[in-house]
Order: sequence, then structure tokens, then C-alpha cells
Amino acid sequence: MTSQTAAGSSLAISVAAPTTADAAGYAALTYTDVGQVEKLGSIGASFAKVEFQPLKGAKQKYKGSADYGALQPSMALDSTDAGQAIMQTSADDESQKLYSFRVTFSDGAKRYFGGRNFGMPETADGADSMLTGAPTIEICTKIVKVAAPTT
Amino acid sequence: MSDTKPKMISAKATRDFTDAGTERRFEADKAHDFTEGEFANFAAAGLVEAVASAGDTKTKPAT
Repeated sequence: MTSQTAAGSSLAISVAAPTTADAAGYAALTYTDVGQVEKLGSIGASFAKVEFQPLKGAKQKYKGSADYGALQPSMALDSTDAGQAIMQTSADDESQKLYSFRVTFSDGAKRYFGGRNFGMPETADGADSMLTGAPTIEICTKIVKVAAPTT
Repeated sequence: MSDTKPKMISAKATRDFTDAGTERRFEADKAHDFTEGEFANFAAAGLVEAVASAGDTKTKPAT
């Protein structure tokens, strides 16, 4: 992957779960794009740091449990946008259902994962700003990375 | 020859909405055709409801 800007990237959601947690399984689902997305935020797993300081010697550091992270996009609220409506549904869902998500970069590379939306607060800031929504999608599965198609 | 045509579901939009990915716009109270996946997504959000037709809503048998 060469360097690229974030422009053209997109976020999409599906209420279905893949039959297999791989690229083929996720690609087989039907997604609905979320409109009016301003930022996607960071995506990727990180590991807890386990430290041990022996009496003699330097501090030792180990990789602990994995956390697949959370995606925190922001978007201008649009009551007619189907993707935002599904995002709101996933935020309101009180069950432990996993929704499927697809992030597409401008070169066509994709990131698939299952996640739960822990809320989608709406923000009304100053007069010269848009009403925005900021969901917190906790990523609950390994992120499946699909490289950009070769041309 | 295999049938690769996706099964379509006729459903009524409960309100005006737009699909940002396809840029299709759906008018409230009008019936539209959706793929099964589209219908599942939109129905979950309460955007569409299946049209109860007098006829058979099942897939037509292969000819």
C-alpha cells in the first residue's frame, strides 16, 4: 500500500454475521454505507502491558491481553440516511448482538470486524457547527484486513 | 445454468430515506425492491416493512 489520504474512505454496517470470520465470509454480507462521515478514527488492536520490576536489572515488559480497540467515527447527523439509522439501531440494541462493519480506504483496501455500538451521543456545539453523532463501536473480533485490489 | 440473480423482496418504506452507498432514494409509503441483505439491514432500522401481497411471496420455482 502506498501512502494515501483518508478522503474517500467509508464506513458500512450490516446486521448480519458472517458464516466464517474471514474475508470471504465478511465480503458475502450486504452492507449499508453510513453517510456524512467526517472522521473514522483509529482502528487496530493493542496489547496490555505487563511489567515486572526485578530488584536487580531493568524493568521487564510483556505483552498481555489483546484489545481489538474501538472505532469512534463522527458524522453530521442525517435523519434520512439509512446507514446512520442502522447505526442508531445498533446503539439502541440492548442485546449482545454483534454487528458487522466494513471500513473501506480510498485505494479499495478493506477492514472487516464484528462489533457492538456502545452509544451514539449527539452533539450540538456552536452556531457555526453541524449537529454531529459520535458512536463508539467496540471491536469484538479480530480485524480482517483485505489488501487493495491490484490494478 | 445456475441462477445467480439475487432474490428480491418487495417492501414499503416507512419514511423517506437514502442509501449513501448506492445513492438510491426511497420514498415513504411506496413499495421498492430490495435484496435480502438490504431488506434485513433496512428492516432492522425500521425503515421498511414487508409488503403483504395477496399472491405468493415465495421464490418462483425454477423453470
